Amino acid sequence: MTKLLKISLLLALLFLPQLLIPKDAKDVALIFKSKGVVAVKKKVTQKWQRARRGIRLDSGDKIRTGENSLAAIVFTDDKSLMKIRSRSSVRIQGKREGKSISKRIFMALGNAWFKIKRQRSEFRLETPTGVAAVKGTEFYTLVDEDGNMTVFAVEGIIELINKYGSVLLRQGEKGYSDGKTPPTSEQTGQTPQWGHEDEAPKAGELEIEYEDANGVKKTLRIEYEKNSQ
Amino acid sequence: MKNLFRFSFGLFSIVLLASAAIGQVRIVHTPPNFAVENTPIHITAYLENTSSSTVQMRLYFRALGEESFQYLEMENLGNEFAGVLPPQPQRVQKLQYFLMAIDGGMVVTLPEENPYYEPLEIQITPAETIREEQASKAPISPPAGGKYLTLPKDSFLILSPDPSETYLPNEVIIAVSLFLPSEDLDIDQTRVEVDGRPIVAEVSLNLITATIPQISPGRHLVEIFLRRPDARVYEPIRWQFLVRRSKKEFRATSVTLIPGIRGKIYAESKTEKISGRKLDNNQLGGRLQGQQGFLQFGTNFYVTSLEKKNYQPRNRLLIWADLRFLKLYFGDTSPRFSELVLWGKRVRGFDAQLNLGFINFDFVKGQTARAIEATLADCVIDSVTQDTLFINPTTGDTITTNICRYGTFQRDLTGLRVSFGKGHHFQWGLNLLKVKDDINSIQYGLRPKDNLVLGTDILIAGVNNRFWWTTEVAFSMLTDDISGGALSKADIDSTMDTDIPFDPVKYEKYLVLNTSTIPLDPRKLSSIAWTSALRLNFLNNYLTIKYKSIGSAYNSLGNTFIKKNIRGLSIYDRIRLWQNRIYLSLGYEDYWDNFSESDNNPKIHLNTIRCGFNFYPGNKLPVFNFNYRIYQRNNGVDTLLTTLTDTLDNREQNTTSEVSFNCSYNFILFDLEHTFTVNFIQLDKVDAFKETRSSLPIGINNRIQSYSLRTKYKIPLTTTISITTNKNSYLGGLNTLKFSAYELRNQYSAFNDRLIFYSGIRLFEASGGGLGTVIDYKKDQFMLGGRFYIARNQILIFDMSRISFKDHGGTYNAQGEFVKNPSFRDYTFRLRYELNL
Repeated sequence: MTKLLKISLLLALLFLPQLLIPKDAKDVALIFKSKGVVAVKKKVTQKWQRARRGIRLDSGDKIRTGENSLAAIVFTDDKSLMKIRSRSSVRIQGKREGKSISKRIFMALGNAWFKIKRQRSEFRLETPTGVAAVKGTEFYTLVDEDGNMTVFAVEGIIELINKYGSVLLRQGEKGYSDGKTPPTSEQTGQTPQWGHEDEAPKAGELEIEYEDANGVKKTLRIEYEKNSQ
Repeated sequence: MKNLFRFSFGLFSIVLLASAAIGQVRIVHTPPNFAVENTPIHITAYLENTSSSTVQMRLYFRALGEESFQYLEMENLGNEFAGVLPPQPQRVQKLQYFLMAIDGGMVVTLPEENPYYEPLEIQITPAETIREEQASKAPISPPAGGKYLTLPKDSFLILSPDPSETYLPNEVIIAVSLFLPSEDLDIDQTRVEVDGRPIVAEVSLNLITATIPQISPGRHLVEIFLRRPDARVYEPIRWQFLVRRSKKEFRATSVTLIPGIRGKIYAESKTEKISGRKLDNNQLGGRLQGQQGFLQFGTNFYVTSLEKKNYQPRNRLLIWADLRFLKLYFGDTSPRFSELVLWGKRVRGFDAQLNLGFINFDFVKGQTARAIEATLADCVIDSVTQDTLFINPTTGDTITTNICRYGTFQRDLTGLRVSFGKGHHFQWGLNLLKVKDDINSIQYGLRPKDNLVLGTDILIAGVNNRFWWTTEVAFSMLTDDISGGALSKADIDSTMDTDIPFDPVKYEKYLVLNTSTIPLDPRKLSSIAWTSALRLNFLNNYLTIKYKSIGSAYNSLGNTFIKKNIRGLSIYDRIRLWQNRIYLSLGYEDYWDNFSESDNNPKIHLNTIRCGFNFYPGNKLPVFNFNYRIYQRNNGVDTLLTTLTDTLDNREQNTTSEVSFNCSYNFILFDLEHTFTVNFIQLDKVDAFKETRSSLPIGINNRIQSYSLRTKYKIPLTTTISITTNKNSYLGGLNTLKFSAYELRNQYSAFNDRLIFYSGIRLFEASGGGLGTVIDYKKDQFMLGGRFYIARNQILIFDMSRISFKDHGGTYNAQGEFVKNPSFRDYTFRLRYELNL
């Protein structure tokens, strides 16, 4: 009996962590637009496959883009957006916490734009040289081949952290982290603007309701395109 | 006839060459196996071996058993076309259809051969059959007697498409996050529909996604139906989104040949023989305009083969530029100052307008007539002397001369208008016009003229132009013959026994004054003209009140159509009733013609009363129009004028009444659309002195009736049958004329209205006569024509007619011999090409 109990306890100890460790969340995000060469490596299959519009992303899935490419991703809990530009590599990690998903994005290389909604869940962007913790903000980030990280704050507040310190970035500020020194921040007037360039031009619709000679109500609908100027 | 043959061959070649281009392009389409009754049927297809962006595709369809096809335009989604056939009831059994692609001269169909007679078919399947196959799917509506379960707003999140965004046709994804507990959702029973049509969706506990490869532009509805494991149904998640065309598709719908230039150009060749006389007219014309920044520019032109140097110009050319405040016109322009002074007269020269709003200038200079020398054509040859004879129109003398027709002087016009105010609500204008014949422009001419007109006008408008009032005054001086030049003060004083305060010779460059000047004494104000008009548009009444007084000596060579020596008032009201379905019109006019009696003729009282009733009840009801007018002339003379040698009857008192009635009705009979129209017109002119008149009576009676029936058939054919009869009697019944006209016309469209043929026959016969004249002729006319849209902006038009005119009538000459009128075989032929830019 004692021996049986010991074996049971041992097995429990082996499996318990796995029971306690939350399973990777499914359907964390969704690719709603892809242009050029975009590939996805599912954690389950560990194989790269060409990403198509509508493919679901689970926690642990990786995305990479080729030359002249773009992948637009929406997170399923709060509609936060992430757009990954050319020659980028990203891994998504997510954990469901009730109706929210706590998100961690690992960006090894590349150029990305984020628009994060204000939610209770956490959002962290991790790179080889730093971490950006955000909540309700819009920002750009660049990670070069050396892992150096640059963050452009468009809206909200971003905390840029590495092991040497942290810095808060506000709207119009740029932060830099090389992993060797504390992160720095400075004012910048050269924030990237490509985050919306792939969107369809703003268009409007005009509806005019009128009555014809017989008193029948009809609607005239006019679709027009707004000039960007 | 040779021309006709050449044209027909050319037209056939165009169609044949166009057809030759067909074989390379193909429509690819997978027909649906079946369709569910009362459900729209989605059809898609694409074209092979073409990358044209201007191609159109039509979907022709009809229910089994119907004769004619209807069609709809398919949406061009970039790489495919899509269309939706309307729902069909199960009793239809089968729906037949075929596809047709058109691009410029290319026409492709599927099926490629005999699509009209061997179309594709879709079986219409009863819904019960489909329902059995889909029995495992979730019902759209809650179980009978049940209600939808409330779906909390925070239990789902619409990820895409966003209702506030617009999407391109190929980038739509349906995505909705779900936050329901697993025990509250049966994911297998989840159903997603777009525009009422179920689509395949991937459903998990947290997420619903569906990718739509292509969707047509426009607004679309998404509905998601969720069900609990216990079969209770949640209220559907519904939202709409907008899909727009891409910029490339926008641009593909417009055709531009010359960037920035729009307009129309046409070329026409016409040949005709009417009453034995042949006439050819080739013309080239058009209007073009463009814009560069704030500069707008354009040209109107017309060139005709009828242009001859010994006639006034028929060609027209106008080049204009508009720089907002400054407008320039060069060539044949038609300036407008005011109705009394200068109004639409063609001037070949230039017109410059500076419009600053608070002050405006309009300066015109040019010719209204070009110089044409006298000609020797159409001379009268004296049979004895062989001399050419000319009858002097002034004296009536016969002149032996080699001049048979006096020439036309070059007429120069200069005008200036200065106005204050934009003219929307207020404007006060001052006008000056000088028109003078150049006596040195030709060698042989008669009565060259010199004209000076001064005028002023004012306009006041308000209340959104519902109140509008304008008044104008003008004064003129016209010298009817300046060939002798101006008379000196001495000449005038001695001739007219007067003492004028100036010497006209000194002012000759402003106006030549001599004894032919009208008026000789301007103090009598006989050359003053003034008009005033008030317009009110309130309470469904459109009331117009006008008064005018045009002096007997008023002359403006800038508007030669003004009737002189008339004064009076007109009132007209048009009343709208019953939401613009009924219009009542009432009019009254009271004028005095020859009111100055300057020619010793009595003035004539003109009195008109008119009323009208127009009824437009709306769709599917007949339209009625009724008008009545009574018009009286009375010069107040009721006795004969007796002289020593003669008795003159210048009594004038007559009444003309005119009644017209028109009815038009659209109706359906034998499943065809018909339009029936009836017209009646009756006119009677009664002379009050007809019983005592010794000269020819003046009574007139006129009766016109016409009936027409237009029918539209299921095939693209329209026919019109019309019958018209007319009975006239004039000169108090001494002369009569009756005629009847019978006409049959038809029009047929082919290749989806790209080619329109029409033909017709008209039979006309007339009889009557009186007082030495016999009227008896028949005229049969056959007409044939067509219109072919070579491309969306290019049209080829041709029409021809053959006329057989057989005249058995004629007149009796002084010897009592009957001289028969000639008969003719005439024709017309026209070919026209139009290009729209």
